[in-house]
Amino acid sequence: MSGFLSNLEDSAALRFYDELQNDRFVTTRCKRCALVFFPPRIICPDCLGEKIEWVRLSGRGRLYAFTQQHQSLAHSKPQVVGIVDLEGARGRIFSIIDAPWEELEIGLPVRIDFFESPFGFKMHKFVLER
Amino acid sequence: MKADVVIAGVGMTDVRIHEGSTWLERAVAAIKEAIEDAGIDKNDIEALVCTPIGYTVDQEKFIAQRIAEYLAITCRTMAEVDCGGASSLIAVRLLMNEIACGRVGAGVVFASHFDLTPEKLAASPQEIMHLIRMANGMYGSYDSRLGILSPMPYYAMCIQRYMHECGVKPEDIARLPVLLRENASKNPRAHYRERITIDDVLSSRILCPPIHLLESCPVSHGAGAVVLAKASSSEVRGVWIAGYGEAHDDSHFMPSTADMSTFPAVRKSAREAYSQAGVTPQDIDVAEVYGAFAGVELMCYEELGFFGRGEAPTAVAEGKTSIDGDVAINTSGGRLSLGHAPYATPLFEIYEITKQLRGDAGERQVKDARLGLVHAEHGMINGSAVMILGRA
Ligand SMILES: [Zn+2]
Repeated sequence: MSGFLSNLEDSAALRFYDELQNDRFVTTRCKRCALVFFPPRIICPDCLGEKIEWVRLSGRGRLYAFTQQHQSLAHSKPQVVGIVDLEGARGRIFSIIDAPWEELEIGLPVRIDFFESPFGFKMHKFVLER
Repeated sequence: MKADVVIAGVGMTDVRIHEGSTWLERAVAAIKEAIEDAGIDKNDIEALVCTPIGYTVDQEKFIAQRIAEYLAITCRTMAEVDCGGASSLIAVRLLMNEIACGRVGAGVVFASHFDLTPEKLAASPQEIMHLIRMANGMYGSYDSRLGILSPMPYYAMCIQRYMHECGVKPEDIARLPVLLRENASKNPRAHYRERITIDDVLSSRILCPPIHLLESCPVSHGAGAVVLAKASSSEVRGVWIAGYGEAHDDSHFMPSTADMSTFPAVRKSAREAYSQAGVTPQDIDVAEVYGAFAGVELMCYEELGFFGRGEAPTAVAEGKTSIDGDVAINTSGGRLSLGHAPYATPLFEIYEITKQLRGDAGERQVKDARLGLVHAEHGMINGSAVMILGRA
């Protein structure tokens, strides 16, 4: 994770982005209580279990909300950003929504895709499920 | 009603972009006004509690210590509280408890907020790098990858959900900035005072959709200060602290599972405050509500219990929140027109409510105001504090 975006809060974030560079969308599952949660963590936020395993997510979800960034370092207008409710995990992801603004509605099914971010690493985005 | 601690004095600077003065000079002005307003001897001040200076500036450290030295104030309690936009109200709670438990008799809470304006940031590569580091730190490993520099996209999506779930139309939200500006036109300390119309709001440019420019708070500078004292020890021009509540969700900016269109922390903190004061939302005469954008301000009215879900826009349209309405809300002009200097904002709110309860609010005076409410939040309203003040 190059340059000025090098703040990673934990080793789980590092692993998440490493896997993403190979088009794999992953998160962590607690071996004690079986909770799959996103974003990944080194400890279960429910039972504080430290035995976690990495699992692949389907990458499908539903568009929970969306907007456009007014001031940002990248991904500003006309590009759309949004929040996706993820299938198979507790949690949501904030991502790029790669579709024209006019076609978007709350609740639409979306799926993950990958692209080269202007920051010089592979990032996730979501496209409309056709 | 509990009444151990009073707001003995209040002070604040103008809320605007200040040029030609420093954060320290503004802090000193607000503190001097508050001490003189309280009519107490400076040597009776035993506590200084403050907040950081701003989000985009981090070179200023040891704020309370520097003020103690500058104004020669000897203390028994000193602290700097950082909990985002709720910081200075939480600082007031900290000092209130210190006084209630008898450790100190009187003290000052102050905040002098200063942030770089977007123009200043754009003009300097050094400041931009600083802003990037700050944003990375604020928004964490995941959201910072979207190049996010302000919390506005979260607020925009939260308002989008509210409009979607409650059938609220853009013109319903656009009424609020008009009313707040009307209130601010009567407040000489407000950042923006020229009256506007619904058309002005709806034709102002869209920032993060659905937020229009005139539905967004400005970046402002300003300082506020409040003197708190033990009820018996102060000459009572006083306004009592009747109740306090505070709640924090298990999220920061984006709720991981909860609905983004509701603010559980606001609801819980308000409930605690009402219960401690032994009052209901309907008993409140005047309130200062912390809403950085028009849509979320309306949502906060509902979570504070003033109106049912989805009903705040209609209540505003019917004049229920106007100065002569059922509950006068943001008579100061609110965050949108008084201006928003987040670390100091809760102290501006206490200033306004104190003036209202004393009957000193001039053209903005709410008739016979006896009970007031102050609200502050942090994150994307992931945490909230509510204080209820009563007239002595
Ligand atoms: Zn677990």
